[in-house]
Amino acid sequence: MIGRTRSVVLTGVRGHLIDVEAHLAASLPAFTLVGLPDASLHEARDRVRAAVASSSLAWPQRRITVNLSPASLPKSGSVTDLAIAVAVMAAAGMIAPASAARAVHLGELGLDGQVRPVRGILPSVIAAVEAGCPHVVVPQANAGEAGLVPGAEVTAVDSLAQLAALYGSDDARPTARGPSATPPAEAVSEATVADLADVRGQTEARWALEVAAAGGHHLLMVGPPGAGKTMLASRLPGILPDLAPADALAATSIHSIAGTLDASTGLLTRPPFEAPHHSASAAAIVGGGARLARPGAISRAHGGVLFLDEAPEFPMGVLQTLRQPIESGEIVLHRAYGATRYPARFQLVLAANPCPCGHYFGRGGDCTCTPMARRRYFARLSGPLLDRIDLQVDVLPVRRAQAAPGESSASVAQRVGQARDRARRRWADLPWTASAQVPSRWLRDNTPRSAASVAHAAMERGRLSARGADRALRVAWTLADLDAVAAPTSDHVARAMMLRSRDGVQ
Amino acid sequence: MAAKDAVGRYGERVVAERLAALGWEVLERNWRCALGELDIVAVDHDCVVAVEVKTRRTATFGSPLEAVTPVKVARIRKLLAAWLASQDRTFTEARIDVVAVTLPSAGAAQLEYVRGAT
Repeated sequence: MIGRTRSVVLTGVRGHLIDVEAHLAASLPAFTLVGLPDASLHEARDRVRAAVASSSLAWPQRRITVNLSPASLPKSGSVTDLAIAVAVMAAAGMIAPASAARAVHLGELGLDGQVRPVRGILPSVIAAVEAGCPHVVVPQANAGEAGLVPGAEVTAVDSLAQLAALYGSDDARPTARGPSATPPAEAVSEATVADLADVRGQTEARWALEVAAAGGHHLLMVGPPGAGKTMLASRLPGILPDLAPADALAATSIHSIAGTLDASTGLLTRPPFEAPHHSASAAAIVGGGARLARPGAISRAHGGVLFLDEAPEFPMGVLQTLRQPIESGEIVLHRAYGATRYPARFQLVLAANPCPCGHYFGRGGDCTCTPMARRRYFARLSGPLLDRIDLQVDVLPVRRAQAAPGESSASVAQRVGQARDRARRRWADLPWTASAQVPSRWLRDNTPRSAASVAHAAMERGRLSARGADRALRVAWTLADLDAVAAPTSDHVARAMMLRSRDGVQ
Repeated sequence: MAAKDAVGRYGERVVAERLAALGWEVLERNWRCALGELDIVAVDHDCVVAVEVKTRRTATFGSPLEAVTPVKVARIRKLLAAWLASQDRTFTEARIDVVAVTLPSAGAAQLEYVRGAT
């Protein structure tokens, strides 16, 4: 007797539809699980068995072999628990085999037969629908998340007995349920994005933030402690436009896999904000883990902002790992069971003190650091990384006179949105959507000569490198978009150069 | 003798009688050697069969079949080999069967037969 059903396993954000088949043989009772399961999946045997027994159903006293096919694909985790239970029950004739075979089952089982929520429901359901199996059975707690997928026909269950009854079992009875111990998922901070109006003074830094938002430029802020760098950075998501539909789906999938999705808020439409502490390891930043890698901070920041506060305090190796994803917009992590690809297109915001003591600004009178210490401190943010950061500004302490309340996030966001629209229309036929992504070649060919000459003159005088000139032009296009003009003028280029005030500072 | 041993003896007797009634040749009952004990050795056509009988009064501690673990089957296999070595007669096949006997408080014993345990 064979029972069949389907489930989905994930590698990265890609889901693979798998067949789960159970064979019952007349022999001594045994339960074997084949098809490249890992240790965590082997535990499913004991959970499934207990869950079936707890649902007032008789566990078949046979030799049970469950196969997860294709057998070549490594499988991990508890998401296939429900499918294994369903396949066994179908093979034993406890439920209607046809209804079991028709649906894709996702969910972890508790010993009491409860169906518990799992991570990665969104990409799993997407994979099921794409593979032509729109009928999905998911844990009640994941129903909202599964419902985000267009075309999915979702059945939500909270106990195995409930599902067995749906499939025609008369005997299934759920055990009385204790209070659920599952805490709600740690919500992605969305409502908590503070308003830019809270930032007093800092006109230049606010302007840099607006330009960064409008052009998608990476940003470095350097200033003494208490100047408001962290405050500014945390308000960047508030002035960014909503995520494009494709990015929203990718970002939601990543957060689903990372277990940080609050499904009650639906699809993530606002850019996420990730601010890892400087003690974070390379694996925490780019993603990692044994066998198959899990997404890290850069992937959780996909479509949004990755903020590294006290950037020079991060280990050099960690900062270097950012270079490749900044270029390619994704990260490929190789582990024992294979390579995992996660999207990681984020806007990088770095904040740094000017020196270890933090007081080397202006004339630097209060600074107690030796020149050597200052140099060593900034050397960590070495060339290749800083090269990719278009905007580099100093954030000076606020004086009382400046301390008027600033413009609100909403009105800044409106200007940013308009600038982004202009850019998108201009580059509708080209593969990039924001000026930060524009290749140098296009800049050299399309920037008006009169404007470009400002940057070239600075190059002649040795004030700007060739790459620095490209960056100035790139930012100039963003400034032109903010001013709602067709192409940058020499004035835009000059202002762009001012937004790299750290050039040449040592 | 403990009550559970009496239950086991009774189960073995029931099974042996049933096998004989089916036309099997029962060669041994409770054959012992240094390694342990074979409950029943019988011949089914040309195949020698070591029959392990597991008897229980209730299913409270699980089915009797579940009590026959892979370790126990492996031991029976060794015992059967030892038995065969002690015999002059030869057989073309050898097999291990398990019979679960459940003794309800009233009524006849229920037998569950597993042919060819591995």
